[in-house]
Amino acid sequence: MKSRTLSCRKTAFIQDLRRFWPIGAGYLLVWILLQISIADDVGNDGYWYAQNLIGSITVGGIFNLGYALVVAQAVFGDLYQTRMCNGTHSLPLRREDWFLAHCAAGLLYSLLPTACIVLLSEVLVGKLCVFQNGWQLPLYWWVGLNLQYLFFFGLAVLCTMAAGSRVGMLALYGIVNTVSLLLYLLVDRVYVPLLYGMVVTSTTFELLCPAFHILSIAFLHPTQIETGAVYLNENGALVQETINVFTVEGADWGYIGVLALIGLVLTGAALWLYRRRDLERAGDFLAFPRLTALFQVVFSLICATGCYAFYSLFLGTTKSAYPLLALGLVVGWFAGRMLLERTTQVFRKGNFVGLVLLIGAFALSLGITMADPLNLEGWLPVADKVRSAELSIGGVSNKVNITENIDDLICLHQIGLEEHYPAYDYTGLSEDGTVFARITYDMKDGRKITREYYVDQGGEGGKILRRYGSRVEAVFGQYGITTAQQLRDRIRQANSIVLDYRITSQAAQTDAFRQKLADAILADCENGSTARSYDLHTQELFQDLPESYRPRSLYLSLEGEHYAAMDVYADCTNTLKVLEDAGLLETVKEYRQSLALG
Amino acid sequence: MLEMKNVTKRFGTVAALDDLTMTVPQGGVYGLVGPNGAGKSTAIRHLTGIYRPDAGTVSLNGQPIWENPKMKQIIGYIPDDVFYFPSATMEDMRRFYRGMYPSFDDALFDRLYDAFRLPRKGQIRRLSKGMQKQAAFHLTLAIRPQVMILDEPVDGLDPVMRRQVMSLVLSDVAEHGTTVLISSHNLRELEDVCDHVGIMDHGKMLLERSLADMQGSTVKVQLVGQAPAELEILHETASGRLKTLIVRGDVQTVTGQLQAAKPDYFDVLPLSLEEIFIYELGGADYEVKNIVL
Repeated sequence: MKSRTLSCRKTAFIQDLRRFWPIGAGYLLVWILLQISIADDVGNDGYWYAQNLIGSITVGGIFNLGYALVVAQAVFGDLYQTRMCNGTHSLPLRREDWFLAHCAAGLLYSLLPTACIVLLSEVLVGKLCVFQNGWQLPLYWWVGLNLQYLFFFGLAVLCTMAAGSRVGMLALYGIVNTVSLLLYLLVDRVYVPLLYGMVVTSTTFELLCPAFHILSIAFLHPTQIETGAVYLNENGALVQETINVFTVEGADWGYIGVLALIGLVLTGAALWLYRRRDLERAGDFLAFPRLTALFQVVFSLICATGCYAFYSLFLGTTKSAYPLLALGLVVGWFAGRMLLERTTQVFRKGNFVGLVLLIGAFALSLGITMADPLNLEGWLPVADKVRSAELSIGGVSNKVNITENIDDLICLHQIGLEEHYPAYDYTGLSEDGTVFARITYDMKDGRKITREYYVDQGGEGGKILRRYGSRVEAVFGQYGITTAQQLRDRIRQANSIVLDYRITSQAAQTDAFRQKLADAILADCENGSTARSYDLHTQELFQDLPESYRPRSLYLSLEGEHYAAMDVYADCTNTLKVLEDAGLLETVKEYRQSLALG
Repeated sequence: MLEMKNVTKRFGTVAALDDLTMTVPQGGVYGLVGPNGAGKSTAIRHLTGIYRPDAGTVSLNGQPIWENPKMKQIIGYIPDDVFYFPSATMEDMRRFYRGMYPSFDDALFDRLYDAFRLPRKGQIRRLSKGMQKQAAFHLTLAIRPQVMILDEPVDGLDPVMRRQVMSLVLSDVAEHGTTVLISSHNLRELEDVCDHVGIMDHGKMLLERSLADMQGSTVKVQLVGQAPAELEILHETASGRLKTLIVRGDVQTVTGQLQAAKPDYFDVLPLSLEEIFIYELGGADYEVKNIVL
């Protein structure tokens, strides 16, 4: 009996290969073209070939997203046609045998074409790649790509089993692949604006959306190193030579490994569903009636979020778009019902009851969010429970972990709450005289909590922002400068010091000038007048110039092997004084005057 | 023995099968009849292991059929709407069936080409509906099934091919003792081949017994004159002087009673399957039980 079962499975498996081989051939062709394109692009640069080959795993993520869907629909597609479904299931094979045969065929549709590409790549690696162990690269590529496929195929098979038709499967697959981002959109666009200062970051949501996250991570980081090899030649003499070895570092194998495992679990869940599936559901949108309510709710929420996000994206407001949520829910509810019932005759009393319940539940959730029973809006951390805090102003972050500094940021947080300037808006507009600041707390219990506020630039909050925004590490951190001494060294080592991209002078290149400049910049940092945020500096330079030619800052750059730069604002009095003494300021002014005169 | 016991199957709110019990005796030819929507095809899909019953059991030789390859591989099934893989030829299907059915007989498959004259290479789906049906018989006979389940098997076949097909099926029954279940609306043809009949309506089995029993328990009498009082008349119609009566009793008894009464004219006829079918379904304005008891 066992051998009979094997024979039947083999027959079903071979039948899948016979029927759908063009799909695999198409996939193979796409990869061949891509490999040829990569080889063509890189010319004879073996290093770049390696980079591109490994980099194509990311593209493979998108390929696999669609390819797994196509393959799953092909091998399990008989479930969606009543005749084929009945015909095949009258044959002497258990469902798990059909399932195993189809899954094996489905996996082979990835393993085989990619194995062919490995062979092709090995030829190209042999021709192009300068690395002694370059032959491993195609294997890394093969493993990475197939681990991805395992996940997407598992997900696609699960959707195949839950759906009753191809359209239903497509819809489910689309939803489960994007549900976490849709959820993020819903939370971020609908709920978060109701709580002043609240922020949710997309990181976790992205992690839960492999189709998206795969695009943003680097699976492998190939690096070129040189290794000394020592050996005895045929004359017994010791010979030492340098060889190129390719190493793969920083790979995120853990993530794709977990994905592959999840794919296997999903495949197991799909088999569980298959065993419970009633074959008479072939052609229905969903194969399990119990899923219909869930689908309708999720579909309605997607439509509501879509309507709302679309409106707020183009028309730039949030609050006025809230009524659209109700409209989206209505549209989604009935559109979902139409898909489920495959008819437009869905406007029945029973369906309206469900819709009213959904809208009621949604409105209640918005009401509860606004009531904020957990006091999320007014929450202030206790300094003892904060490991570190990060202040971001004008795109520059400043991390602090000393209690005194953390207290300052908590104070800023409190000011933000008290001043309660209009919350962050997607248009980026803020009230005049306010400055945007983001505070992120890294709590000792592992949580990361972020808040965003606009604070009065002339108030206490503005002072804190100036103080922290003007710290050396905040102003020059992006250039690797975090201490006063490092800044002095950088100024001393600079090839030239340039103002406003082009203005310099002999006087500006002397050691004495550099010493004075370093002292002046550090003094301004200490005074809190060098913060990079434009909003913290209201005065303009060169008051006697026509209004449109008055700059709010001058760009001071330290040219050389290690570049660094800062904006010199009107309140950087010490720095301006040094620049003026060196004649640089006058030159800049003259240049700007000439521009003003045309 | 092919058996369904108290099988219930619901599609949403509709009960397609409602506590259905039926028994197909081994080696017999069983005709399953019923009006459209009676649940015949649903019952057959249970008997072929496609559908899982909500309640009740479906078995072959005492073993369940659903998810039981051992039982399913001795069942040959021809659905009302035959299926083939889209681009399959007869030879492709031969390979597929050979892999699926251990009893597949290649020599018989080759011999059947003479009977059906189907092209070996052309795609089956491009053939006419009747030829596709022939292809289904070709394949099903070649697996040498112990049980053949045929849903509207001759639908779409020309009269000659109908006879050819039924002849092949019956010779299989005669030679190998194959059990056959045929669902059909063509009662005239069923009457010629079946030895057992089951009549279904609204998912229930109204009547199930051998054709001989069924035809022997009730007769049709055509009569001119007065009917004897001892006749148990179930239904009566008149056309001029000629009366047509549905009478309980076997042919000999009823004939004896009529001869004793000496009417002007009488004739005693067995009921055809079609008439039984019509009366069973209430078309003659009286209950089924009255006919058969």
